[in-house]
Amino acid sequence: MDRPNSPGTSPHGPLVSQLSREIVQLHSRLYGRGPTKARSYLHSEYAACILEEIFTTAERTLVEAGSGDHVRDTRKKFQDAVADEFIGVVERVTGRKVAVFLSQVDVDADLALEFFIFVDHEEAGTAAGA
Amino acid sequence: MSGGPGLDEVKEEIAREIGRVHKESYGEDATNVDVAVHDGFVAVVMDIALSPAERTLIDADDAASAETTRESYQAAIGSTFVAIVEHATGRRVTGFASSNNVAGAVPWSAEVFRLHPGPST
Repeated sequence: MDRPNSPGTSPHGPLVSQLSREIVQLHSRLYGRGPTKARSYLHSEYAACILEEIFTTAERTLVEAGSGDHVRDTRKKFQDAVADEFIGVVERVTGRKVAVFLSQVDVDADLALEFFIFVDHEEAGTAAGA
Repeated sequence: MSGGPGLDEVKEEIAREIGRVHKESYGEDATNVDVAVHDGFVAVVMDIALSPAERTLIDADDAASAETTRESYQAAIGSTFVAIVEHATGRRVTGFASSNNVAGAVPWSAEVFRLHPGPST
């Protein structure tokens, strides 16, 4: 079974580090604030980025006031608006085409998951499971 | 309320504290904070700086989402703004309304506080 790699322990290490770095830079540029922690995983079928401490001051104010649902909804609209930029980073870094991009935030954990499924994921999955 | 140093001090306190709270809780500056104090109400008009995320939404033709975020923020911070006005004026606030305009050339917001006819209790 093909396992997601860990930074520094596989040939994908530098790619994973670059992916984390560029996703953080993009988030910082678009939101005016970058996540304080980022972890990326590169699999034959997908790429995943976990971003921590992502919220702006205004978003934290809203979450603390009980408006976490609004923060989640606004983040979704925002990610829809800038999806092409996130996909562009992943495609450029990995050299793979992205078929599906999913983004989700957890307002309690102050965390975001950016998930990218590659176009040829079925072929990659079959080859890995063979 | 009559004019004079007392009124100027009230206005300055309201402008300073609302600007400070806005910066601390929204993370963006509020500038040109203009305060009007009348017998029945206090009005605060200020220029607001959009966050990069808000600018992105507006550029994506979704100003409505940016405005909704501001409305939610105003609802969350309203009680703090009310407390500022009550402290500065010595009057009880009986109503608070806020309006945000984010899509124009200079984004701005207006806050109106209705005052109870008498000292704060």
